[in-house]
Amino acid sequence: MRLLVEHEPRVRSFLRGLLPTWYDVEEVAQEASLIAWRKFDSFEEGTAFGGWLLTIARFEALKYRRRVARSPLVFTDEVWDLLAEEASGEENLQIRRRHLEVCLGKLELTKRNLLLKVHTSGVVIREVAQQSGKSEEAFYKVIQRLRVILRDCVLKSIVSEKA
Amino acid sequence: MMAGFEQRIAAWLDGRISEAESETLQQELRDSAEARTAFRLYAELDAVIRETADTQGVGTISKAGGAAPSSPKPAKSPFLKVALAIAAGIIFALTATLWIQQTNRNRKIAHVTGLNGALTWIGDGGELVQASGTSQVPIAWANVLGEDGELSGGTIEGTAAESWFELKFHDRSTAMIFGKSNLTFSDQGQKVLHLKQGRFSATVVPQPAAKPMLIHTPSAVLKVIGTQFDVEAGPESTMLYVREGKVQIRRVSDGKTVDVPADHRVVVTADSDMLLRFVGPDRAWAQTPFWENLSASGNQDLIATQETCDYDGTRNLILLEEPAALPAQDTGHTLRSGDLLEIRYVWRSDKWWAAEDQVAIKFFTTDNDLMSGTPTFFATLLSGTPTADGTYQAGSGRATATETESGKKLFVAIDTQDGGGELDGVAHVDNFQLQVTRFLKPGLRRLDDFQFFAPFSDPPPAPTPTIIIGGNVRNGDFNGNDSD
Repeated sequence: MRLLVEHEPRVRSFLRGLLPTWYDVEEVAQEASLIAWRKFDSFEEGTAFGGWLLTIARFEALKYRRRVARSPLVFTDEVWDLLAEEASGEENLQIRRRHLEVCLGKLELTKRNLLLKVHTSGVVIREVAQQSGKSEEAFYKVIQRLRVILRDCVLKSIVSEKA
Repeated sequence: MMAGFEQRIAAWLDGRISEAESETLQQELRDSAEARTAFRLYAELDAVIRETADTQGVGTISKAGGAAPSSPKPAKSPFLKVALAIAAGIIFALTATLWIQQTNRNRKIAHVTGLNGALTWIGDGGELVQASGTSQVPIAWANVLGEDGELSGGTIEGTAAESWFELKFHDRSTAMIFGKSNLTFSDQGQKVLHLKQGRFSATVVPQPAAKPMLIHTPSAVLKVIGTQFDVEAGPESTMLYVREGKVQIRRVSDGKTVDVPADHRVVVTADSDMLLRFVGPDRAWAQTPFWENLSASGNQDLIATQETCDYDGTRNLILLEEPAALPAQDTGHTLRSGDLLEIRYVWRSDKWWAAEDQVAIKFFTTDNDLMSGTPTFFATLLSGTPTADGTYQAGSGRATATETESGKKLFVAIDTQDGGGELDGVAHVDNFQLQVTRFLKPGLRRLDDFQFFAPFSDPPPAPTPTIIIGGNVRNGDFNGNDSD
């Protein structure tokens, strides 16, 4: 159980790059955790638990993907395989995630709250945009700018750490 | 170029990317490892933000992490301060979460107000109880229920067609599942339900605006402030019908959102247009031409037809097991010996309809040829048992009139035959058709035959069936309205 909890964030990050919505990510992550729990006996001690869990998650994501395959949000097999393959072998995921959390904490309070608000389950961005008095398009641009700030912050932090 | 690429990633993450943009994005991802790295970074970023938003909430974040980064004086070690602030926040959140989980593990959030059939309940702590019960809470469930049948969150699964389960939250909101259904429910200040499959009905008292009830299905997310509504979820589709208030529904695959007002419904599939359809009000027997309520109560103000749970987008007949209603009509047809009576209809089971319950079409005559006379039933045609998933199925049958019925008026009733032991089931019937084929006995011509056919010419033509109820003939489709 401890291992599952420890690796769950990594699984979610991995799945987010493959599945269209956060709901899909949560569904597949939960299913993968359940399968890992049931099949724990087949996990070879001494091997990387994270890698094993990601393999299960990838397989479950593939199954799930078939259900939503008609959506324009679902990538073709080729792109999906490329992304899944590269994300599975990603070594710096933990480090990057740590930097992401730090950068999120650094963000100006009102901006951070706005970003968190629009990413909360059940919140409809269109409504938040209306409340803020902005058009939906303008609002999306604001959110995108905040994402770019965070991305730049992460990249800078990683470079600084390596230096 | 880069800005366009990033905008496409953002549109994908927000679920609002167009097909053309999606193709461009995929081309970029296919062609460039650098693009894929950038995409993964944004995806991770999205995951971190969503996890933080969902687990801590905006209010908590603003208190826990606000001071350090926005401090006007630069600290000697801002990174350390920020890291410490976040670490403190994480420790606080973890401690709080553990404490809340510990406290909530046994916290009861709703109580069971009724159940029936085979059900499985899996509690938050992983405890699993399988039981089959009647309308009262069975003893087998006593070990998981607190006083007054109280439950903490968990998953309830109906495993048979006749299974149903009703629970009431502490704010008096009620929720029910019917048939083969799977519902996970929790209430940590916000009611969050996951309906993986099946039929679900709820009456929700007004919820805090910031914490609406959320219902996740495989294809949609529903946001409910306070209302009455029904949901039917399958692996690829969700049907929502709102009786009162308003429910917002969002398609999972592309984020398209629709507000569904009262008396409207919407069907969400991957390629549906999500158009709202007005659902007309229920109609009583008094508004339903040709058919009447022949039950002992004779109450013509009870609901007879409705537009929900429809077969073809139109009105259908509500069939109740309880003796308060018995749909019947005077067909206007006078029987002759040898008349072949054939029926066809579609029907589906609904709430509390047991796996052994059936629709029973009954033909009868009366002692005075009036509907109010003493009936004599001469044929009963049963539908067979319902489908496991509560979908519409065809019913049919035939009967032949004998000398006993000859010369009498034909009446037909749409009744039920109980198989589950409880008279509380509900079903729906639509497109009822009754046709009569009149066969003449060879050599026995009647006077009226000679009026139509030359006495010494060819024998009478082969009998052809006549539809006496069906479509808009005598309101066989149940769409007729006496109050029009």
